[in-house]
Amino acid sequence: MAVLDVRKLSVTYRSGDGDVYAVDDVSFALEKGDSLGLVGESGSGKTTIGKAILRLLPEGCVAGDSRIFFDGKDLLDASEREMRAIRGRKIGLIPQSAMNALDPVVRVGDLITEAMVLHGLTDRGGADGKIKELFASVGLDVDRRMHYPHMFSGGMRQRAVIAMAFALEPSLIIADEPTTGLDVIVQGQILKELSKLVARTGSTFMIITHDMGVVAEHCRTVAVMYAGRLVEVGSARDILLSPSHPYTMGLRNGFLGVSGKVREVISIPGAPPRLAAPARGCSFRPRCPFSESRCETEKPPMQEASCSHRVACHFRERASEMREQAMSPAAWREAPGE
Amino acid sequence: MSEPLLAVDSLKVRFSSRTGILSQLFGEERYVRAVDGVSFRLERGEILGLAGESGCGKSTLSFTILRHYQPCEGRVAFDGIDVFSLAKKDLKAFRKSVQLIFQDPYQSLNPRFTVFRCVAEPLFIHGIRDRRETRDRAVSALRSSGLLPPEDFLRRYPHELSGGQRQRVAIARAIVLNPSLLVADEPVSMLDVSVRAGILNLFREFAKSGRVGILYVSHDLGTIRYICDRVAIMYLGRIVEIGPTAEVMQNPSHPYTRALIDSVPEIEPGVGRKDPELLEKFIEDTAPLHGCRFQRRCPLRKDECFVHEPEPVRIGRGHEVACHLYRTRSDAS
Repeated sequence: MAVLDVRKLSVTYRSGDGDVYAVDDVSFALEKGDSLGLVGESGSGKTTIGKAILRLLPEGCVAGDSRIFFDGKDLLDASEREMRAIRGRKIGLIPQSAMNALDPVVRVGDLITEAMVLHGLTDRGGADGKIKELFASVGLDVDRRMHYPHMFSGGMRQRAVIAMAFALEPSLIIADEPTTGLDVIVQGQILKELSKLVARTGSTFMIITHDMGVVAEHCRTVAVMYAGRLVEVGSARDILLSPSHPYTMGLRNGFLGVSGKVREVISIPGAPPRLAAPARGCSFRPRCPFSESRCETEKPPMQEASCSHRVACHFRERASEMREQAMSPAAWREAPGE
Repeated sequence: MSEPLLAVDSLKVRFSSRTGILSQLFGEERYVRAVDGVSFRLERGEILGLAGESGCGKSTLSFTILRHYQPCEGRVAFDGIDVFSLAKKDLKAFRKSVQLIFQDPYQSLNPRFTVFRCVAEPLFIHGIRDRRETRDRAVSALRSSGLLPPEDFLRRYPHELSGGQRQRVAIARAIVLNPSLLVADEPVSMLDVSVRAGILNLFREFAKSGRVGILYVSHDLGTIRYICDRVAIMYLGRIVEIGPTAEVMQNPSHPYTRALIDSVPEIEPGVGRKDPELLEKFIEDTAPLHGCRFQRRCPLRKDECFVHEPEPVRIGRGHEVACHLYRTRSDAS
């Protein structure tokens, strides 16, 4: 049975300026021990999905027919009391900004102790040994547990937050941009520690990021989001070597590494849509070099491209042909526009 | 030929690190040596990348070139003239020919200015007020920055624009006075991948025109490899390696450069980033008093590294490394 099974998740933020359709009909499932990379640009809805799973969204945002099954139980039906027992303990969160995740006037070790005691994992006396172990496993000096957050560098804070998430031994860990803003060397080390911890504890892992490089190294499965919709899901190999959605092809074109030949970098023309109304057809259509008239009216359903690979594009049969063309800057110059 | 566009010589910038009032009165003077003896040249038509981890002094260095900080030693010459001894009347001309592009286009544009006002403001400051001329120059700067058609953008406000478009407005503002030096501090790190390429290609076009030299400050080696002709790698206030980008990327010679390049992820599955070789990976490094500043993390350190600070050694055409692993020919004989 899947650890996490998200079905038809739709989220609409209500605001004075009108509604924002942040997540539109997203479904995916995670098996035990799986590692999923949720990629997309800013505003594509990836953080909203993370928040929806932890039920951290304002009341009334999540559409009525959405379902989020965790260990077989629908989280959207759970009471607030039940959710408090799940957050942190069953589903851990490594938030985007480590500075804001720590309390500036509480020693880092005390903060972790408090969480462990509250969830009844240990008493105050027993917590210390566990924290030492956790600090060592993320590469922090064990004496650091007595320090306040301001005495930590950015990379060390991020390690502390990771240690905190693992302290409660959750079975699902959601990491939201865990290394954005950190230097490459530190980023590489932290992701490695994180992957090791995930492997050792056998937890299921979901990382939210905009960085294809991070996903390529640390995730078995990749889900690509665009404008609130899932456009492609598959194994890391499928997504990186044979992307089948034009948006994924465009994302891949924008990646800049340091090995291999220097390629021409191609940007996707235009900008993501404002999500003021649910898109009628394909939401990528105005920027897509391969779109045709049906893309404007028919929303492409998620369909299988292979057993491990699903894509929401009307022309998925032509994927290899599109991949060929997407490598050329000329193809992207003439997007249809609004 | 004549003087280089920008020549930085043995530049040192330090900040006092005394904070409390007692230590200010009685304490010993202590400094953070943010830039600690940096020299390089930048020509027109060239893009020089300045890379390094946060805290290595790359932003301090670029702001010092723009006269935001006063160095305690060394010299910055722009077109052959020392920028710190400029007379007041020359200062305005200097500021006109040197422009800065910031990281965050959400903060660098005045939200109450229209795009036209944002771009034309530098013209107003420099006494160009003719309505026709300001409009024409703003339009042409917007066009060069890829905002098409430029007329459609003039009356819009920053909040109506996407991140990429905002950064293009910031770039238009920087080029409207026809500067000869552009300093860009992480100009694409806040932008989404799909729009990043357009901005990078813009910098390449500017450099190709031959009128402007660009100092591109970033910790992202991928974008540096893509647009920079040369790259300088900084570690704790010093340039440890400098050379043609392709040469440095293929043949990184300083152990720190190697670690940095090994840390960059790749998207070909299986290629992955290598595990960089570093000792005491997790320490926050500070410059030691003696010897090489990379000594604590260097996997190849030897006794000498704890005694003498290595001087830059030429190991190829335009390729210099400050590391005791390398010797000049005269030393070796």
